[in-house]
Amino acid sequence: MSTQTISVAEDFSPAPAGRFMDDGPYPGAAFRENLLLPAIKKNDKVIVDLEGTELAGSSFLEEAFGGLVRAGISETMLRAKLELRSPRSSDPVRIWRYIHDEEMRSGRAH
Amino acid sequence: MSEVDWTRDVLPWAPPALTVLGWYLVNRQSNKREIRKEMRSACDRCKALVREAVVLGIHYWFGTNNVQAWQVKAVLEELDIELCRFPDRHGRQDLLGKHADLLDAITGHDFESQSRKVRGPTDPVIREMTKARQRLLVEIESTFERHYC
Repeated sequence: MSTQTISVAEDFSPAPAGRFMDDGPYPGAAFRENLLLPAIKKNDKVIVDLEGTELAGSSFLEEAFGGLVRAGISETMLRAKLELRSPRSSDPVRIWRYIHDEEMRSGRAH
Repeated sequence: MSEVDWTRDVLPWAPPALTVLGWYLVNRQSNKREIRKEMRSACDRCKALVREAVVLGIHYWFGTNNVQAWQVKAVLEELDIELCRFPDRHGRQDLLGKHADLLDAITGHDFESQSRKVRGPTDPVIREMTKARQRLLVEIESTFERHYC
C-alpha cells in the first residue's frame, strides 16, 4: 500500500491563502492541482499535514478540498484515502464539512 | 465467632472516618468551584475573542483601519486554542462546529484574494458574520450552563 505525506508548510507554503490561481502565490486551486489531486490519484493513502502553517482561510481550504469533489473524487473515496493532521482542532472539522457539502451540492451523495 | 462490640470496636473509628468524609466532601466541592471558575474565565476569554475577530473581520471586509488578513487569522487561531479548553465530553465538538461557521463567514468568499471586493454594511458577508458570531456566543454560554452550573 503506497502512502504519501504532504506537508503543506514544507511542500507548498507556510502561509497558504486565497482560492483561485490569480488570488495570490499560494491559493487553494494550486495546492489541489499541483499536489493533492496527483497524490490522491497515485496513492492508496495520502496524509495532509498542516503543522507549521498559518490558519488557512476557508477560501483556501474549500477550494483545495471541496474542489476535489468538483474534480470527480467522491467523499467515500476521500474518507478511505485521506488523513488529516493539524495542530488546530477546527481544521479537520472544516475540511470534512467542505467535502461533504460539495458532495451534497453535486448530488453525488447516496 | 465473637460479636462486634459497637462501643469498643466501631465507635472509636467514627471521628476519623467522619473527618475523612468531611474532607472528601469539602475537597470535592472546592474542586468543582475551581473548575467552574476556570471555565467561566475560559468562556469570557472565548467570547472576547469572538467579538474581536468579528470586529477585525468587519474592518477587513470594509477595507478600513488597515486591518490585514493575518491579524484576523491570528485572533481566530487563538480562539481555536481557547475553545479546546473545553473537554471533548463537555461540548467541544459543538463549539468547534460553530467556530467553523464563524471561520467560514469571516474567511470564506474571496478572503485573501488580491482582487477582493470591498463590502458594505448590508453585504451578505457581513450578515453571515454577525449571525455566526451570535450563534457561537450562545453556544459558549449554553455549553457553560449545561456542564458547569
